[in-house]
Amino acid sequence: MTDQSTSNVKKSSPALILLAWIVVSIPAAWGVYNTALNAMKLFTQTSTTLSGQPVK
Amino acid sequence: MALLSFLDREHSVAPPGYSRWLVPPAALAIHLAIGQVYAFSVFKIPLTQLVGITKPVAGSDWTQPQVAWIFSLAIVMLGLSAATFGKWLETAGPRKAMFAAAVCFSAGFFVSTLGVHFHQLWIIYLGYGVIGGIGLGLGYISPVSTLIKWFPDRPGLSTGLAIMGFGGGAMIGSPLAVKLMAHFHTPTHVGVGRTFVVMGALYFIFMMFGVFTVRVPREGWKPEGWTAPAKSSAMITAHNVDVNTAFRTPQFWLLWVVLCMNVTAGIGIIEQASPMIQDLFKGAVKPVAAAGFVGLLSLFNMGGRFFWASVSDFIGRKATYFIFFALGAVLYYLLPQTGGDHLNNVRLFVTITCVLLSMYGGGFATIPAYLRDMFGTHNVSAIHGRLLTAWSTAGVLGPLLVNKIRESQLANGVDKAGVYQTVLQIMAGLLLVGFVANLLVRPVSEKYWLAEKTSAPGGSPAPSLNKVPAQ
Repeated sequence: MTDQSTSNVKKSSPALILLAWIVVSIPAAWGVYNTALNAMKLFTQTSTTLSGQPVK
Repeated sequence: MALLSFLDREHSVAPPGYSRWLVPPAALAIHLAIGQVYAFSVFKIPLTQLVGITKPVAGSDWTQPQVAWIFSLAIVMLGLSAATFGKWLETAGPRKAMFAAAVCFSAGFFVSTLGVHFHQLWIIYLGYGVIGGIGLGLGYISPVSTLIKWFPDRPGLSTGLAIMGFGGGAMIGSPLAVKLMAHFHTPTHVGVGRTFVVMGALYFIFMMFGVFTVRVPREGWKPEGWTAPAKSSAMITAHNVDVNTAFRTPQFWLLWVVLCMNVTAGIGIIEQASPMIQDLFKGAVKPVAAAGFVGLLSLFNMGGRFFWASVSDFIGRKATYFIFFALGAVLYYLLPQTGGDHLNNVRLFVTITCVLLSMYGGGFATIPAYLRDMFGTHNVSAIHGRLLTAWSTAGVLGPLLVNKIRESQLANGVDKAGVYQTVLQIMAGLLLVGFVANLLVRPVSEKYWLAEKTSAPGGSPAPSLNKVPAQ
């Protein structure tokens, strides 16, 4: 049995699916954003080695 | 209770036309919530200052080692409850299990608030550690078999998405707790108690979204336009194995070793990431940058869960773990060479550790699909639950191993950079053990299969209750 085989069925609305993904994406994106901000400190507060130059 | 019958498996069967793409957000709602456990460290210092407020008062305030037991207890309970309730979950269905997880996880916060209020640590052990830990275990395994049944064509991708949520949960839980504690902080309170109440309520509401959204596929459902491959790989079974039988197969224990070695090696880096980068690149990496490095690792840990589990759908689970163990062993071995005494290249060090952490996360996310390939979909959540004892073991073994080796080397006069070399080489050795275990994984013998009647959801045959007699 597939969804295709059943005619006249009410399919889940794409808006509902989008809404469900937004509900979980907003807190996840907020968390990733905060972590990425923190991770940026590695690139901004490390001496020149990250740009390929050896530390003396 | 008519109201609670809504939670029953038969009431959560998807109506025709229900989109399977609603199930991953339901699973993510649970995993993003319970992943908060990895952010518990943000409570460590405030919990040691409940009396002193600005600094711990010796004799009155709790010590950090005492507080650290809360997290350890929660992780041990995660493994135990996943192993114990996995079989129940298979019959009760994901909705009831998710609801129970939400109740336990939130109750853990509420009970812990009492512990803060009365300044009784045992109440927090009971609350967040035991009750909350049961919620963790139930929540972790609850969406796994449902996702596999909805996505028989992409089991790695679907379970990888959910387990990625567990990795991402700490990224939400940590800033949320920090902001709430700052908001509730007063000259007489550190704000932990009220933060626990708000987090318990918020997580309950968020997890209920998953409870209301999740559905199980109806009998015989399969994705539109998809047909089960007529001749599949020998490493992907079309049969089912009962959880109690699976427990007796060599495949279960080989996969147990695979998971345990992968996690232990990953913990070897996570445990010492911040001091390691500072010690290997003395003067070049300051503590603030090292904290950024830890943040970067958690992003790769999370991303690796989705990436590697999805890749495993194309190259196979066994090949994916071969990459983890072979590439991982080489990278662990080479990592100390990037340090200040050798190549002196922070960029290379960061790149290697990010790849290693992506494979650590990938190991967690790919294992449910590997279990499904070996044992079928029938009891996959229950089997996964029992396999998670490997995680609990690694959670104790990893830090113990790292700290013991470190202490012994330092006592023998080895410098800090040299200590890391020994630790990382031992981690490389552990990955080789995992490599051999993965190499030995073969299809499960026919004598362990359940007797089959008809075709079950996801193209996998439904087992009858009568097992084929062993031997």
